[in-house]
Amino acid sequence: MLPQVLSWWDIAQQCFSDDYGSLQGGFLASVFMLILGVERVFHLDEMDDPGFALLTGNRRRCPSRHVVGAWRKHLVWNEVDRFCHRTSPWDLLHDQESLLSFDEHAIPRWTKKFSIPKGYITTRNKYMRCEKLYCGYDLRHRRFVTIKATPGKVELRDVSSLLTRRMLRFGQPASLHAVFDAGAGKSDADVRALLTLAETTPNLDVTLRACRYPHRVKIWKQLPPDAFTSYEEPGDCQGASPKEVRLAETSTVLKGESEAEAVRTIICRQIIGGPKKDRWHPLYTSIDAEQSLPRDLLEEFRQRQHHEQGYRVEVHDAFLNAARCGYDKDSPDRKRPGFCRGPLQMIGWLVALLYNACGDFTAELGSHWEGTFLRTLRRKFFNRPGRLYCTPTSVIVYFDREFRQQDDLLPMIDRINAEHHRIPWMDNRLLVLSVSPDDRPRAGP
Amino acid sequence: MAKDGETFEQWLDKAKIPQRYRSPRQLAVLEAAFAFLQRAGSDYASRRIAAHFLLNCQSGLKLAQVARLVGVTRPTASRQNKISSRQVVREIQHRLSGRPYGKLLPRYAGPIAQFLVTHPDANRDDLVDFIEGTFHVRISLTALHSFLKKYGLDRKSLEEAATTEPPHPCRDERELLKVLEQPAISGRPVACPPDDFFLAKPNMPAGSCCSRKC
Repeated sequence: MLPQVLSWWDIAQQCFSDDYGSLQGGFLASVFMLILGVERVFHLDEMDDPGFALLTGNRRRCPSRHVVGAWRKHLVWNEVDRFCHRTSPWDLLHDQESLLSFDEHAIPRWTKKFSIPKGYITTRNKYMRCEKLYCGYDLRHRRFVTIKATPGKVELRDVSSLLTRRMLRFGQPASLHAVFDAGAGKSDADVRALLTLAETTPNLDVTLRACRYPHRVKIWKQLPPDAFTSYEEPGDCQGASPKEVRLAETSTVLKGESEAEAVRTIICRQIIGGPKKDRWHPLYTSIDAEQSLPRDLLEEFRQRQHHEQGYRVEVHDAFLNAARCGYDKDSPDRKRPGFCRGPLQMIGWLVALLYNACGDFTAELGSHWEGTFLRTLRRKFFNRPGRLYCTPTSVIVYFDREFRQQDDLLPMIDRINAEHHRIPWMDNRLLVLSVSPDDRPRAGP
Repeated sequence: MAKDGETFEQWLDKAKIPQRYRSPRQLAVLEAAFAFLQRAGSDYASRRIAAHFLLNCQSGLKLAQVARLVGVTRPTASRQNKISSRQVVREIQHRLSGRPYGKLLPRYAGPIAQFLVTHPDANRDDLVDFIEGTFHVRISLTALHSFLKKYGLDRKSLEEAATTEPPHPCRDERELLKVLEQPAISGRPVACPPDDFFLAKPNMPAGSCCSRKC
């Protein structure tokens, strides 16, 4: 993971001002805390690990939580934006037929002291104080590509066009298919805005889940049965009965528009056995019927689930919900504390970068490691005992206890050693990774 | 080694394969290996794969015969014997990438550093023996010297590193003052001072306060 961190550190040095000399400690501690699984910044107080101290640029002791917290607190939004932009994996999109998902992640805030805007938290099913992170996610490569932090009252429909235009401008994809959840089209005007953007941009297509307003659902339910095509999908588990999905294609006239402007709509009806109601998943799309069949479109839209899964991994394995708050705790008016998006966006993006780096790591390890969660990687590879030898020219990291996954790691170790990475905060010493010889007799049969 | 224009019989004769090793079963295997080498060429990777196959297919051929068939020396074939296919592929990859490190890979630096730290009086020959015993490669002293120098493990660098080690606050008064000047941080563990920091233990059985005179 160190080569990626070194590249981020190079960019951070160019993007952030360092008026108080806390950039190195703050940045490196923030990154390595996520990698090694230190959940909260105040856990640094109890840390007495010379390896962590060396990683964060201090030979004597681990960084103080006060230094790290102060660095995070004073992050400026434009510097953070610059860092996010320069570390975004635009090369994944360049000249590609990209499939991107845009969605929000709401971070609940429990403050009683400060009055901050409320938003809807889906997992808790209620409105409460929160802050939101909007991310763009490449569904083909399964990587986060962009981020924007907002107060809790901002909705997906407010930022959907902005994020899409950003992807087109900086990613330069050959074609872009943007998929959104229902939050992007709460009103017909929002749907029309996205579809207009798709019409005016030659290489852009948009698909969004339609809101299931009762009057619309009533119309969709009145479609004749022969308009639906039935498909069978594998059941929930082995031996379970297959699921039946019925697809129909229709068009929806938006509010204040004519029949000629009707939007192509794919109606997906999932048949649920027993007394439960069937599930309806309507999709608005700007793609013509000649370009894509309803079933292909549905399959592409279903890839969005990986984006949601990515948020879950970030929350449970990389402590995304512990990101520093965006409201100003030093505000003179606690009823209107203001919003500083720098700290929140920075930590959110560091978590996303870690997610991407773990994806690259598992891809290099081999197909049997694909999709491994960050917590597993931490247990198997990152948090391993070892020895550090600091010579005048190099830092030798020696994993002196053989571990089961060592063989999978050897090609990567050889590659990293061949790339001759130097660690700037350790007097430009050469990084050398080393594992114990693998011909030791193993215990057991 | 199979060459273009060479017949199967010539190949076997050149490798000095006796007639008793030319049973129909063995000939079938050897013919397949010959065809493979003719088709794939005589580059290192092809010869290495053919040798690995012939050594592990239980054809009954001796090691020296396989070495002659693929055109390597017997010690080389011996070194290549009894290793996994995975290891063979890895060695081929190293070879194809130009063997930038020779036999000493950078990842050997850890065990070598540990050996040097735990055996400060070891000489170069001891280190060469350690490397041979651990990694099964025999290296020259010149290669060893450049490896040690590259990673700062040579004697001069290690001595420099020992002298430039920063003084510990428990042993150096100036360092202690520097630490005391830094702002206090709650919860930070305090380093344990060395034994010579404390006064010598009293040689009396009990403290002086227990004396009747007090």
